[in-house]
Amino acid sequence: MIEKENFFSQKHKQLLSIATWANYIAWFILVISFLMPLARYVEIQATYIYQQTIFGQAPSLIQELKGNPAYAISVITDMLTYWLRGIIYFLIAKGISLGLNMIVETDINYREKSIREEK
Amino acid sequence: MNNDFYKQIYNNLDLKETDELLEIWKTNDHTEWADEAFQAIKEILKKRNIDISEQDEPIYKHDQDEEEFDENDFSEDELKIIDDKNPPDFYDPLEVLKLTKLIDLASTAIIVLYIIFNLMNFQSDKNIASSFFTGYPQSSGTILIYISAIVLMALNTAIGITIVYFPLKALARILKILMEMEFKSRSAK
Repeated sequence: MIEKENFFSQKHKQLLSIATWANYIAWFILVISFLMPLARYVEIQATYIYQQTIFGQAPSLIQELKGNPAYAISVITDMLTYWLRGIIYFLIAKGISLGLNMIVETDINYREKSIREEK
Repeated sequence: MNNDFYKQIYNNLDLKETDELLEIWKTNDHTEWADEAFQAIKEILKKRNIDISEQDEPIYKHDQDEEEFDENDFSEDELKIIDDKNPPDFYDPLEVLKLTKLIDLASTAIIVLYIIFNLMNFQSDKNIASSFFTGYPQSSGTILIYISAIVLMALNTAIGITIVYFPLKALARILKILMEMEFKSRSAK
């Protein structure tokens, strides 16, 4: 009897392992990409608080965002860029994971065929 | 019963491990396996001198597990791959198709975002351009600065979009091609 284990060479196992890791990393990146805009906002706010502490009369971040729409848009775009970049990395990592799985599946299908023909 | 068809199922299942066959036998999922498959499993297990355990209640329809999707979103060939009765073990074709659609969407979003982002940064492009025309008279210098800043911005946008858009599109196409290749190899099963 030909055991299914014989189909899986070390290379198949390595590919499947990379595919699994790529899938985990994809989700990790997605979570981080949602947290990054928040971190960026906190960073900008910290800069304004620092300025207020040093110069006393400097406007707060909220005042600046309300009074300067162009600046508000640039901050939002900046955050969106972080978010979209994360989504793109997520899609690439997911694509790699699925692509590797498909390659293994294709190879297994052909191996099954050749073994059946040998029988 | 078509003898060739049964023989093909039998040979295919005979390649599987005993544990896997027992699992299929016990699960008794008729949505995943043809009736002939269960008969073949019974014969194979008997041949291997394995005691055949009792089967669970037969499953003829999955009500909750079925993933819902709009058939209009996919082409005829794609639907053929999704609905194939011999599904792949290592990936879900529906997941691949959804991912390619997401990649297409993201690549379009990238274009819009890059244009907005570079428009917002026009001032910095203008500053770079003005550093090249410091010795020019005011009127002609201003026009040249604006023209150069616009060219710089357009170049920056075009390069940014090219670097991200085309690789993403390529990834989506590669995934679809790999899936088609895998689908064609299934006939070899």
